[in-house]
Amino acid sequence: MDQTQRRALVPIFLNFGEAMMAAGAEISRVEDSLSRIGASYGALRTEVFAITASLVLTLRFEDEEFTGTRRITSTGSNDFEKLHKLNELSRECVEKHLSPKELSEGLDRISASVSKPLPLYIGSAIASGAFAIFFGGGIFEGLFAALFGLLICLFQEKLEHRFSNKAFSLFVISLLVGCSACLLAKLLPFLALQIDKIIIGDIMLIVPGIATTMAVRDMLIGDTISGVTKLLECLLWAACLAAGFILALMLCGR
Amino acid sequence: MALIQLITSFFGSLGFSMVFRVPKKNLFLCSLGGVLCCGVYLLSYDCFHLHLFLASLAAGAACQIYAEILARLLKAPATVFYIAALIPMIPGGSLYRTMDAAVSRDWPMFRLYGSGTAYTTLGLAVGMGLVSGILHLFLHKKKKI
Repeated sequence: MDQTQRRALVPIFLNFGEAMMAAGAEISRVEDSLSRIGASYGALRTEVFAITASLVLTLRFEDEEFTGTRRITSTGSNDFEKLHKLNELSRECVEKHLSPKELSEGLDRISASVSKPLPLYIGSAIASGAFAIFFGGGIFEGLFAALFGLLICLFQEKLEHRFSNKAFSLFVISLLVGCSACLLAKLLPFLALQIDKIIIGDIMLIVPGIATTMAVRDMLIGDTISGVTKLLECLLWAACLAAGFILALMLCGR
Repeated sequence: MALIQLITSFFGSLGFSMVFRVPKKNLFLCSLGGVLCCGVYLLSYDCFHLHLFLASLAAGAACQIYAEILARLLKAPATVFYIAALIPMIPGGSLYRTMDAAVSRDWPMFRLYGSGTAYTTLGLAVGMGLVSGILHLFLHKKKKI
């Protein structure tokens, strides 16, 4: 490989790392995959420094080294179909020695693939309904929680990108869900709905529980900086969520 | 009650796996991971009366082991399996009760549920970190520079 080709590897690697982080990969996985691919292209060292907000990459060959950085803006969502494909691509790249062009094309194919929204809605409804029952609700609580789960998903899909940050959108979602659950209980007193079970079912959908656990885990296995930033973010989200529900409960006379 | 929780934890994990776009062929195993994680927790908390932290630790460790095994068998990232398996353990319920206690100014209950939420999160993370740390000891040789 000549110098231009080596230099051209850097943006491809950064794209790859960014795509992995956007698909919900942990920091250690991003660093691991990029190092493997780097080694397969003959880099003596592949240094990757990834935190939730940025990615720094240095490829060192015998006589020269190349560095690039990338600002990461979209993390926190999970798309395991893409993560799966990226993982397969990195394996393939190491095993079959794909050319940089093939790697880049494979990456573009994965990034361009649009997934259908239907599983999102069905999944949200099933999950929130199941958790309302999991935490001791009856069949009606489950049904209403599933309905709100659908609405939350609709909100996240159609409106969330208009909010300046996720914390504010979580506040609005939790306020809306809290108020409508209370209203529902007042409108349909004959069902004797347990509002708390409905709300808990829907909290499970939006609470950053997985992200918090992952952040603490990141810290424990050595990725301290990204763990701390992620944890702070999660605590902020959880506080906004709690504030939304608290406000809703207060408005409805608790 | 425990049976209902096990059944609903399957559907809870299934729903989340769909939201996270787990490939169809892995959906069942992902959801089963949720049942396993929840089962380990119920067993250690309700049957053996372990402390909440230790019970969560056991659940976290179980889910990491399950994910690492499946990842190697199916050549898929372990992330997919342990995130799906963790879902029923998210302390959404205790978070709600913590907030509810804060609204009703019931500070003893606020402390109780608040610390419960923290114990669960910490326990899960420590359990998972422990297993991946031990695996790392045995599977990865230190890279030479």
